[in-house]
Amino acid sequence: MERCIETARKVGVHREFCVFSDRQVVGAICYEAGGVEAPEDRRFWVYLSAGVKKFAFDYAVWLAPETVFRRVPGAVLRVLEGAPVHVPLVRKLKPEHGTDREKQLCAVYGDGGVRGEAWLADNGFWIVRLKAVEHLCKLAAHGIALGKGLGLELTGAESLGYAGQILCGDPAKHKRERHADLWGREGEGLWREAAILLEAK
Amino acid sequence: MKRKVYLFGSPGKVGGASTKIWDLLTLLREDFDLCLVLRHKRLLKDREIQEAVRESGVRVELESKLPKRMEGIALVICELDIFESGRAERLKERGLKLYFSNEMMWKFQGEEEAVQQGLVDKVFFLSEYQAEAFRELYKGVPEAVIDNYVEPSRFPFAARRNAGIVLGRLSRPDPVKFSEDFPVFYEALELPEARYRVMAWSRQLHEKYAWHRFGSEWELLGAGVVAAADFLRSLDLFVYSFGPFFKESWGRAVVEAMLTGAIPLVPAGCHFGHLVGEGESGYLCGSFATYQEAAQRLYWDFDLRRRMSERCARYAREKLCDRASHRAMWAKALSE
Repeated sequence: MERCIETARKVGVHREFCVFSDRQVVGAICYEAGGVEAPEDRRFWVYLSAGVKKFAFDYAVWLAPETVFRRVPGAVLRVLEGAPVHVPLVRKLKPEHGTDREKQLCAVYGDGGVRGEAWLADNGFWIVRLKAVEHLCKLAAHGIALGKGLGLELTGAESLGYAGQILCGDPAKHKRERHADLWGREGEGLWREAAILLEAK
Repeated sequence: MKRKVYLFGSPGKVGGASTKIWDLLTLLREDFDLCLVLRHKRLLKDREIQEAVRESGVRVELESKLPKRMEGIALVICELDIFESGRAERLKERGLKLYFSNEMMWKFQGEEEAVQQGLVDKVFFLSEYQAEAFRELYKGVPEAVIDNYVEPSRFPFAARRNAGIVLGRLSRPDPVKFSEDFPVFYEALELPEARYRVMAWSRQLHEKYAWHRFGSEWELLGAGVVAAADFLRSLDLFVYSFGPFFKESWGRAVVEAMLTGAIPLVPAGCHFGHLVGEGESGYLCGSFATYQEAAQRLYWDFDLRRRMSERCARYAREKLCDRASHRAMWAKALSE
């Protein structure tokens, strides 16, 4: 995360970085992240509901630790397009021809009220209006419970993808490729255009 | 001699069950010796109930004043505590047959136990969709599936003359009846200079959507601020979406809207396919994209909008709310 902050400062991003960590991170406001009982990739839900929602900001931009800034991203909130949340939707799920997991996930999303096509999401970068955090967490918990009922343990990205699609209005506005100039994951899609890049480990 | 029917429930102007009971009072009085039974004394002073009683001309009794022995049918509609309070048992002890209509998609407290004890003599469903959710529970209990009746004269048609387009919805102010993304869903339809009108807005809804900045294009009215028919006549499109915590057993407000000429854009699924003819009298929308496509089409093609509005009203009046066929269905169901 230190590298992420370093690259941000270098290109001229001077916003606060709040980090949930078990150690001090240079350049960041740090919050104790220990003692959370949840699957590792779903811990962000705990941080979100217990900590982030109390922050004195209007929005939170969630970044995975391996993120780097390559240039000033401009008005990041533009990707919300009126929604309280932006989660990059990366790939349409295939209920007919996908893997068994995809089929199960489609069933969970469909039962959970996702209208029409369901999408896989990336949780490496996303934005939420803090007033909607509680709502987002509630929806994710609902998705996780639905998944359990159908024998599927939802990952962090899957639960976020569910909650995001339920809350975002028009999913087409949240496709990753639509905002490729803002964020990308190295090696995927139009990642070379991204101002903020999640580097491959 | 007409058969005695005691209708247990509260008529009103907000909510599917209350409005249904109001319309049933006028519909059933023609074929039955009908009496409205109220649970609490204070309900006798309720203005809406007084109006419903005046309009229908039915007798009213307080439940506590009913004689110990009675004959006829207790038609219980959406009385939430009918089972857990022991009222159902007492009605049976009086000698009444208990005919029950839940109206919702979820079981009432004590409903399952009551069915197992044989307290319910007949169950009424609004739709096959609702019946499917309850059939296992009511196995062996006689049933009737009777669509809602909406009195068409309450919702006269009006040709729209709105500048631009007005989208909106009307329902009881229950947050689960609104999709989680409701305001952004409306705005994302991207209809230029659209106005949005919602009635039966509440503090809970305000809290639910605290994350949204409602601009001047929004008009959020409390329950009953405007007469339902007047409100619906102000809408060009009745755009209905609800969230993952809700299932609609019928869709009364959709039909009320259609009667006035508001074009319904509703979710594909539930019972809506029986109320709305796809592309003829509204649209059944399986995704956001289909809502958007339908809304845009109606926005840009005024002639289509005008024709569909008329078709909606006609279809609702002639097919969905035909008084004679509803009377016949109820007469059959309550006579068997």
